[in-house]
Amino acid sequence: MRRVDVAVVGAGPAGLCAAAEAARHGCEVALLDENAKAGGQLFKQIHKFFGSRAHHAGRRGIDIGAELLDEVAGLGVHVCLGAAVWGLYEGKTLAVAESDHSWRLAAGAIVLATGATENGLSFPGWTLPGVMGAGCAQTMINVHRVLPGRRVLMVGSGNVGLIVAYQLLQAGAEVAAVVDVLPRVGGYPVHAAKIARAGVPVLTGHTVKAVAGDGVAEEATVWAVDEHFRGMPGSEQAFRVDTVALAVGLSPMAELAWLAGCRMGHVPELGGHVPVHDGRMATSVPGVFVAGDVSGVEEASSAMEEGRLAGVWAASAAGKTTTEQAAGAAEPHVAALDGLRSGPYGAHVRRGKQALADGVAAAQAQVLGGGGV
Amino acid sequence: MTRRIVDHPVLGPAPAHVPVTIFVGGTPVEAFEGEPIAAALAAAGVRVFRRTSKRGESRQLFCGIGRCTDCVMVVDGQPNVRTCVTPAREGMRVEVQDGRGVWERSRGDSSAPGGGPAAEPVDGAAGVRGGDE
Repeated sequence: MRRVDVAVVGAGPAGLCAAAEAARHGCEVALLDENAKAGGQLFKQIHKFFGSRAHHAGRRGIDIGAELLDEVAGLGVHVCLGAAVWGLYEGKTLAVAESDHSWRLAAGAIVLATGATENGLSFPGWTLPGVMGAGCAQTMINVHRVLPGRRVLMVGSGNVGLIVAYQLLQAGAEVAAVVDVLPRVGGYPVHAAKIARAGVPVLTGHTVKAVAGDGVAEEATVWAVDEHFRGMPGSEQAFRVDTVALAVGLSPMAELAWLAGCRMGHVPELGGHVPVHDGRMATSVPGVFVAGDVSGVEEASSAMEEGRLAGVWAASAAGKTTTEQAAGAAEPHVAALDGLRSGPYGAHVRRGKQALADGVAAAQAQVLGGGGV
Repeated sequence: MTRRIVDHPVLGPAPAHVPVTIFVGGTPVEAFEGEPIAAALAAAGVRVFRRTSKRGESRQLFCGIGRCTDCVMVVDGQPNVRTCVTPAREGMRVEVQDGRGVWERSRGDSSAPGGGPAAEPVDGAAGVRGGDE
């Protein structure tokens, strides 16, 4: 069985930073990802990062991604791509599947940076070809450079919905409208303004009633909702579209944390079930850390800082640094996270993370299938 | 008209690529070597990748990053291949998948060499999205 000081699962922004930081602190590090390329979703982020006072503001995700790949390569991290981690056993052993074989990897500490997955939204016709995640549309246009459709309805006006709507315009698609069930736009005003300048109607207080077509999406009907989010008959509007993109949130992909027996808490502000973790990104299982969206859905900027924190403390757990050294190295990343989460748009994350740090989710027995957790 | 994004205000002109031909239901389709099969099909305007087992409903892409299995097709005789993360190669044969699909080499040959995969696919191999009805 192979053995490393620190194994990092997931090579997105959080995992890349965790791997780099652990390696910088003297660890032999394996970075595993099931995809053929590292970088997670960074390489479809072609917009300039905004709204953060940290050093990544004003830069594009694709450029940050390239820089992180160089960083881990320069630090001698073993990057294993096409390697899906399917098991996590006692004694911090990972089971890894590649296309034609499976192998085990023992580690002194493990960082789970497995990210999040897009939520669906159920309405008649939601399974028709042409209805897809907004991230799917974004991947198609920005990574594969193919339009998934020509005329798109965007559902959700959070940052993902606004940014992807704008990027669809940049790619040459038409955006018929952006709808959001809430009474106001969810994302940053700067992104909403770009959509407005392009003449795309933003219908707040509206949701999708149905998508219809002859075997594929051809028409989407939206309607206004009342104060209980019920559709109001008579308010329907139909849009001829071949694509309906759903930007309705993300859910942490915490399967490996469940498998490891990490204490879990359900924190709506963080996207659902997340591993309970402290300020060092340590879970309830000694030696198992989390970083990025799996620990609570946020943005790439905070994922990178969490990754660095987890990497530092994983190095300490693996016996490669003292607690004092780790605390010193962690300090700037703690400060950066505080900065990123300041202000009204970070309030929900602050609440969610605080709930976990306090152990509230655990203490109230709202854990492990405790119903309505 | 192509659905390929040839020029892009941020990303610039399309990067160099090696054109290959894949066969979709026997029809030649141009693909770029190494791009996901699903991207080539979307560029060609193919909107139905598979049909569900009970109601025969059509499905295409949903997540585009290998999570949801909505886009699985029969590729070179192997069913349940996630086309959004499987690179296109010259001469690849891609078929719309009916239901859970059938392994080509097990059709009419129960004594496939090497104790090949069973003709009955594993339950739930395809389609986690909203029930596979």
